[in-house]
Amino acid sequence: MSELASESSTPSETLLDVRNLSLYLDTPDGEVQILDDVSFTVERSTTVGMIGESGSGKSMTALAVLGLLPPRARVTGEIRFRGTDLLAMSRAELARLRGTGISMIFQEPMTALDPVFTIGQQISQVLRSHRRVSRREAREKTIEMLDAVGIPDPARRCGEYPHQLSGGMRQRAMIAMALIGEPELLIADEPTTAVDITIQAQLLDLLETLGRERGTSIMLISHDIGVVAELCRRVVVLYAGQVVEATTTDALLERPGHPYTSGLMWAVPRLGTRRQRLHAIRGRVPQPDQLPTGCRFRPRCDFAVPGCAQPIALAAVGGEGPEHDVRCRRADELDLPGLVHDGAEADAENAPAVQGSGP
Amino acid sequence: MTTVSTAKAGTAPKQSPPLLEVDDLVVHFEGRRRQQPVRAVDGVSLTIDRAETLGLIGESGSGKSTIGRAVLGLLRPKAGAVRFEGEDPWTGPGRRRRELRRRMQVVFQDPHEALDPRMTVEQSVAEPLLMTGVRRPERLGRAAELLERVGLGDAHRHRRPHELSGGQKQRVNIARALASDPDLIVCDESVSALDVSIQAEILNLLVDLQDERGLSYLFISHDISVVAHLSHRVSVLYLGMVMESGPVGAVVDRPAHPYTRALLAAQPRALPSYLRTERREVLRGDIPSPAAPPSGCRFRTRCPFARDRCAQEIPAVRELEPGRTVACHFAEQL
Repeated sequence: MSELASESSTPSETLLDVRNLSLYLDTPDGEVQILDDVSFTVERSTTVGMIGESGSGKSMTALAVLGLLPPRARVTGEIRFRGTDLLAMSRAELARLRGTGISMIFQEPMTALDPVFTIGQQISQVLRSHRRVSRREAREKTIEMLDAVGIPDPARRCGEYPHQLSGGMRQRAMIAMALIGEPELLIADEPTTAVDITIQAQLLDLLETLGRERGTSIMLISHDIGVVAELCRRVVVLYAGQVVEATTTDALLERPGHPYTSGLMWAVPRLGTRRQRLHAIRGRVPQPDQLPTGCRFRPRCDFAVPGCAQPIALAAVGGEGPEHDVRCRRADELDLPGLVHDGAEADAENAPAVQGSGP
Repeated sequence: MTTVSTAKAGTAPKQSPPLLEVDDLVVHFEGRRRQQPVRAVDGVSLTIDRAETLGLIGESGSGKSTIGRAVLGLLRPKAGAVRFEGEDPWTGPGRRRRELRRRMQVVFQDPHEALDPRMTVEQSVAEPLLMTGVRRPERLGRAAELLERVGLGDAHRHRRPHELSGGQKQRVNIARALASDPDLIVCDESVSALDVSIQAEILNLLVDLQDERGLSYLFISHDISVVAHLSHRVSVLYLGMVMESGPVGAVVDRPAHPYTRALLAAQPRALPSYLRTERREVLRGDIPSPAAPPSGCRFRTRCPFARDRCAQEIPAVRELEPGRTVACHFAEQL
């Protein structure tokens, strides 16, 4: 109820609008399709999570938005940022946009930071390449930014090289580098996957605070539904290159509409699942050149019917509540278990019926 | 050969010595010239009973993998003892030593690294049986049986590692560990590299195998939910020392050590906004280097409850209640 009210009370303005994005990669065995008709939006000053396992296409989506795809990639569809189609932009225009319009942070900061320059040099370089600022001003802004991301003694850290920082500190430095150009959208691709859990909690808090204080929209890409739930208001679930579900985080956790989403929720061990059988999703994610016809989840789905072999589009499910799109022809009739039951955290008794006892 | 382990499974009386006992284990890694040695493990004791899983939870530098390696005899401890059925598996006569080693196996994190790329799946699983003097047809038969058991049918027997997915490779590693009919398997982040749907399958398999064969696991992971799921008892490590240990339910529901509390609080939870009651308490700072750990309690530099005494005195490992220990001066007052 209250959730509905808050949904409608904030006038939302679309910052990123990805429409019918398809992506093909040229391989020695011919062209394969990596993304199929991916559509989603990121509103201004909001957080959107993108969930998917390996091979779902989540990182490729991020790279497409940044215009950082390999040359052997072919893209169709539209990626509108502030109303302008990024796919129609020149390289120079895109380069200007990266850093000031859209920034990205990666899982492994060592691959994004240059080992031969100090942290300070790298961060002020970003600023100086986008704005006309003096060296001194750039340095001051850099120290300010390092302080804002929680790096202690920022003036000294400025002169240190990436290898001198801990994993968590490097990740903070990368966040500082991504935010120094005051981008409107920050894409974070598994930003906490390589750090320890107590550091992960710090980084999630930091992203939450920075996003709120600066009005930066965040698109968080993760395989971990818990991490996404911590930070994001809305969620997009990807499977085998397609969006299979998109709605608010609360609605997704309460009543997942796609069998894959529900299955994923119950596959993850939680503190209370002690030795109970986990819901393993049988089979595995299909290779992009071996996709089944119709619904791509069909061969692994407990609810598949013959009709599922027909193509299926992402469509709104009925009922009240926030907007909820699902790519499943049975979405309206299935009542799939989420992680909430009777207004509390669901436990094993609410688990989906166990099928085909694992291996 | 195979009947022995099933017969002894599950029926061990409570009074018998534990299957594995690690007593005051110390492992230091010498630094290069004049550098401080890294005190990876500094006085850790633990036990594992038959058919039991002991979970080791810890972040980087906690020493959890080092303990696993010391148990397997892959590195020499500086002090302390590892006893398997009451015997030191690394000093006795050669024959006995080999026998004890056979009974401890390991499954590592990276399923690919652990397999020989030139061997077929079947060969990999049959290889440990070479040591037992079993003839080839029987070895292959046994390998096929094990592969079947871990969910890899005939279609996979003659494949090589590069033709398998990560989950399938990890199944091969488990089958290979089972081939020597072990009593204990050290699982070092065995499911950490797998996608969640695959991870669920492997966790289910590990539970089933334990129930069937009375196996014991030393289950090492940074992921508390995974450890809590699989373990009967857990030990929480921080910078080479045990902060807390006990039955998993008690530790997770009523953590006694501030570090355990912080770890549990840091665990991201898949809950909607309205069920997130309290604000997470986030630990300040980084994990100190194990080469220069803080004086006194190693956790004190990040502990929200630290007092003067914590810097001066290393807290002793105390028994809070039977089977439950904590190393904190102020555990009762938290």
